[in-house]
Amino acid sequence: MSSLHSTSQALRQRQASRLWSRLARNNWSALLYLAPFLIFFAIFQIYPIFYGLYVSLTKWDLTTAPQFVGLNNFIALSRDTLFWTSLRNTLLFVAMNVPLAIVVPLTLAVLVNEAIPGRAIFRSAFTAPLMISVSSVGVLWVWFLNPTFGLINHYAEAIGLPGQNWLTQSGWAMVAVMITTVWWTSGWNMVLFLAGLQEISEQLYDAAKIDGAGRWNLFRYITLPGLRTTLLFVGVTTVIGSFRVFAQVFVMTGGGPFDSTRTVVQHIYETGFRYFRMGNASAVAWSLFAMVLLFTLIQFRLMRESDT
Amino acid sequence: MMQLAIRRRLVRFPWVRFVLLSVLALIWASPLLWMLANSIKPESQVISIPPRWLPERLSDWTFDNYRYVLFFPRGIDLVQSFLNSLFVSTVGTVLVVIVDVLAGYAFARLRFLGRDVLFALVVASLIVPSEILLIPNYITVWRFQWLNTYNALIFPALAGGFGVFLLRQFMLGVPHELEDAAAIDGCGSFRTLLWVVLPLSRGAIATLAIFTFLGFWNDFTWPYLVINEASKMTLPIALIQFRGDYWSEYGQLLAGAALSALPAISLFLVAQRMIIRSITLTGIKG
Repeated sequence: MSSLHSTSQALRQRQASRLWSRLARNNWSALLYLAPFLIFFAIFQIYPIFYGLYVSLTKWDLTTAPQFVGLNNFIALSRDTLFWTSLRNTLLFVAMNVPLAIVVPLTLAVLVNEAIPGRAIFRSAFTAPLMISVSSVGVLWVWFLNPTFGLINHYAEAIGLPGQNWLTQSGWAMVAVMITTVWWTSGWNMVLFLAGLQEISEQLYDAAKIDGAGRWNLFRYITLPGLRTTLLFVGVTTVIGSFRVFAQVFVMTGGGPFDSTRTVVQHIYETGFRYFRMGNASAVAWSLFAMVLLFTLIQFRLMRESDT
Repeated sequence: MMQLAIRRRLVRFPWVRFVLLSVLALIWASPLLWMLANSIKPESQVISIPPRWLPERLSDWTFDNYRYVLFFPRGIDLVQSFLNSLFVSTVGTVLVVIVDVLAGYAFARLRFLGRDVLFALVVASLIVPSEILLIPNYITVWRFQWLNTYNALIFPALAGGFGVFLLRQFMLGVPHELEDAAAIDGCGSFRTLLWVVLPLSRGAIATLAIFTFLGFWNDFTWPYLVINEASKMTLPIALIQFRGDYWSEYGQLLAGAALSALPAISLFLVAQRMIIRSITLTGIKG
């Protein structure tokens, strides 16, 4: 009995040591696979998060040594009127862009979803702008929106709407940027909505039609509830994306006129790389991150609730 | 009888939706068509009041704008920028795919200490907005003396966790039986990856490659920051420089914009289904 016990113990020990050596070997070979990624991941993704946080606590112009200043940059930020202007503009953009960037793609998706001749062509027309770089978009739309020889004013006046000096008027400039953004990016959310629409069972529609539901009621009581998860996801990602708005504004207006389209990311950019105030710029970046993170957490909360 | 069938089909045809879609599609396509239509007008006719779609005489159509931009650059050389973009996008995409395939495979199939923690870190990194990395990464690249080099454009992009996440999820779905068979035949893990898992992951890899390529091709914010030498510029930032050089020559400016948009649009037309699928997959990312 005891000899049996000791053999089984020896066996277990041998198994354990073999497991260990295999684990050690596995660790080494796994490291070989992971090393290329981990090196870059560590240098350009993980380290900069902590380093950026450190920089936000310093006064630094890159030519002299960084000076530790504690939370001074964040305190200075609260008194920086240009930061508040940028934040107000960004919030205005979020408020104007988000509803349109949901309603327009949703409309397009519903229209394109059902079988119709030329469906692929319609879908391409709405998604093609996504492929164009922001610079081409900027060059194109600055000219499209030109008050004297642009097409927008020409057609607006043809149907009786007043033409605008789109990009040189405070207020209208942001509207112009928003119209451009909707044109440029609607395809993205439309594709996500199309994927969501595919998930809704055809039988639901058939059953409702038998009950005599009209087009609007089908949309209201079947499509919308069926798209709940997609709508949540699209909504939150669009809010986050709108908070991060930068390149199209920068290319079209440079933040003008009179800083009326200057956004938070442009404020980071210029504080950091025009005035070389790295500490201040990092403080702005972290404030933006805090806002974005808030919406990400809300997204996760909503997603989890919609799962249960 | 046949007339009746035709009439029934005409009645069933969703006219309202078709007309609505046609109008919307025309509106969506008009900026691009307008760009193309004007890039082939003679310079003197590009700006006209009221604006016109066609040149004054159809025989006025000309490719001069493209010829000047390509072969007789007055300011920045867009051909050079095109080659820069092509190099950075191609090399960058190949490297991203290699690095992410290796890492994705390790996360999906190998067992090692700290795997789950590390993978959670990769997933968590996906929610970090790239704007907070701008300043620290600029400082790193500056310390490495990579400003105005292709290194600055390519290497930081290899740090992104999205491809690793995408490929890991996909490879988890590859059936184990095939790999076991390969192992019995004496294949090590690397050869199993190369001959079994890789061919089965073609779809996911192609998706990642197209997406990464478009990302490199169209990226603006980071290249604008780290490149300011004209000879190293990629197309999106070169075009902004170009706009400064050609402020008054709209025809040539539009030809330049069209030239930089055409490769991405052609890629889109060729691989449309895959691109649309990859947008859906990116959607899953959140």
